[in-house]
Amino acid sequence: MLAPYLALLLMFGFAPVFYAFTLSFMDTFEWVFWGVENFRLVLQDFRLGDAIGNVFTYVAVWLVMLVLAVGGLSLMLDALAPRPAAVLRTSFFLPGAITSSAIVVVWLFLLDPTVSPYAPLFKLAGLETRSHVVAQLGFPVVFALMAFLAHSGGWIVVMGGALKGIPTEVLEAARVDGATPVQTALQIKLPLIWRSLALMAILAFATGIQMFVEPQLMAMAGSQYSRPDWSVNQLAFQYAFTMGDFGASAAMSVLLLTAAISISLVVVFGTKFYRTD
Amino acid sequence: MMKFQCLTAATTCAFALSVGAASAETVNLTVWSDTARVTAYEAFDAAHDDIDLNIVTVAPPDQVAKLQLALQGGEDVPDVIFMADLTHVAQLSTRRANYLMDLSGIIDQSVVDGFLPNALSPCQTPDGRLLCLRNDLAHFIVWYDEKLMTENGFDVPATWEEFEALGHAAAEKGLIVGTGKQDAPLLNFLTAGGCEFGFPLGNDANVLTIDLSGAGCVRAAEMVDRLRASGALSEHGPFEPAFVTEAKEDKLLLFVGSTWFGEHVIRPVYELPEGRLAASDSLRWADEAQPVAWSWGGGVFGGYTESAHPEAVAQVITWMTTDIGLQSQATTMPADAASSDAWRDRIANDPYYARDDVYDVMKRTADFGHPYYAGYRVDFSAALVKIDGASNAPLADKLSDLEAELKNLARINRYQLAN
Repeated sequence: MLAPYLALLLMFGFAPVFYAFTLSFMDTFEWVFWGVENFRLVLQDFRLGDAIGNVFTYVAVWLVMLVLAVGGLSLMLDALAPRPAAVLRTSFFLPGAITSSAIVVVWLFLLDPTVSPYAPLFKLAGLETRSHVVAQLGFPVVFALMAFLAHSGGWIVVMGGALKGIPTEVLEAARVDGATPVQTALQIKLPLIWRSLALMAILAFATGIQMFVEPQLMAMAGSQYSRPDWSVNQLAFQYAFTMGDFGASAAMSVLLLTAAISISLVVVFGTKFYRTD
Repeated sequence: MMKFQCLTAATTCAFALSVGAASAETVNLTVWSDTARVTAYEAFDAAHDDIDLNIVTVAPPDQVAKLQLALQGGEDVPDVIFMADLTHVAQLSTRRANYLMDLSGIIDQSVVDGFLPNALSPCQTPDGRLLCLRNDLAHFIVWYDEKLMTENGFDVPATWEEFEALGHAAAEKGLIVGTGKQDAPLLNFLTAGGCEFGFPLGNDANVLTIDLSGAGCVRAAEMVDRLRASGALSEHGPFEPAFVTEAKEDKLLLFVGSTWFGEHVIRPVYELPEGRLAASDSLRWADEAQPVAWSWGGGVFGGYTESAHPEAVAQVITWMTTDIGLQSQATTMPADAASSDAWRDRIANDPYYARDDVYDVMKRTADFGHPYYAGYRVDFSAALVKIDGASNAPLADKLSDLEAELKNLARINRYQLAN
């Protein structure tokens, strides 16, 4: 039963990682073992510190947005009658059906006060051009907004499923005891779905630190928005595809993977995520 | 050619094939093209029976990445490419990505000598290699709206000092004289002042001089700051909707832009009416004898160093850059002198321009093209955009940050620093 999964995991999970791991110790030009030379090179890259800072700021903003908004909206939807809740849930999901690269393009228009439907809002804040808006919000917030629109809808559907899983007798007992809808949401439902929220946060974190599309596509708005070295993954891309140094690129990717796995493990075990009460 | 016949007339197909087999001379080349150059390649294909082109359309921003993969895999590497971005010339002639062929021994010296002054500076390396041939010249000249100039009683500037004075006077009337945001025009302001962004001043291509602290460089940056502050240089890039709107509302008095800016942007995008657009020489500082003009683009053709048919590659590249019939119909100013002369007639006789000397201005100022305008593994534009975009502080105050960024990028890309 497990065989198909294992085969796919080996082919598309372990094999590329193993390949990158091997490459990261090689000089990919003369194909000789190069020890930690590639790692030394990328760790000395002066852009790395800024890129790590950028990515973590972005992830922090995005995770806060995601947990608060997805958690809040899901709990509110769950308090509605099933039919309107389903309609709303689907409409939340719709923006997520667009791929994230297309979302970037949509946002480039949304953030331009000359064409944006939110123009009055921007004008109210004294922002007249896209450069004002981007400068005012900052790149981490802009990218977090883009990612939020792309991913939150899907998670609202997942949280809906988690909330459906709460036994009705628990909710009835709460009602009998005189709990208000707000109390039910915060004191009964929230503690029962925290694992789903935490899972979302862990997965979002893993996606977030690998961010690439959003900053890479900003150049579409004009060269003044181009940030080809904003995130760590972009640096890995630059090593491979502008410098032709696949070994250094692999080293950067391996470091990124190591960071993502270690932090996820710390979170999973630190929160006793898999412990059954 | 043959393929074409087979597609159009099935009955002649067998005949064409047998002829091809008998002569056995047809050379097959793969060329990567942007959409704009497909018809030109097709024209070459139609005009040459002995060379058969397999034209693959590749989006310019993806080209280097795709080439790196092709080189890594060793398959499907194209024989000829067009590089709109000159940094690609540097990125594709490294030890790791050794794509570009040295054309110096293959292309006739008379062809090389036929190019306009400074046209081949992006292609010629200090050690005497020729890595490409230039399609078009794109140095900065002054484009201006003659009607607005006359109406407001302004004179066309010849020096940067006059340009600044004009800018402030124009700003008081709500007019603009360009953009303070786009990378290439900013690079032109700064390099005209003498900023050394990373030039191989010695004879070693791997040793760069990066110095933004010179008095001329600081003077240029301070001029940009004052013009930004007075509103003479727009805070929008020239392709942003806000800028285009201003241009269409007759607010654009003058633009220091490349040779293609008139035909490609002011005419079709800003829709300036006929009989108003004129051009004049690139600007110089009053205490300098002559101008020095950076360029904005001006693409080049290059070949694959391991191509099985280097002669045919050289033939394609030569034809694409110097065929008078093709180049005289181009929208950009041909880099090849003979083609450029033929192109002149089209521009000089075009009633769109207010004066008939637009081409003469372009040709005359080609002599002042920056001698170090070329592609480097350090992307000057990206560094400028990153540092200038980081804060609203005056550009002059950010020169030291920019210099540090450029030096760091140079080291990462394995250059040595001269200073």
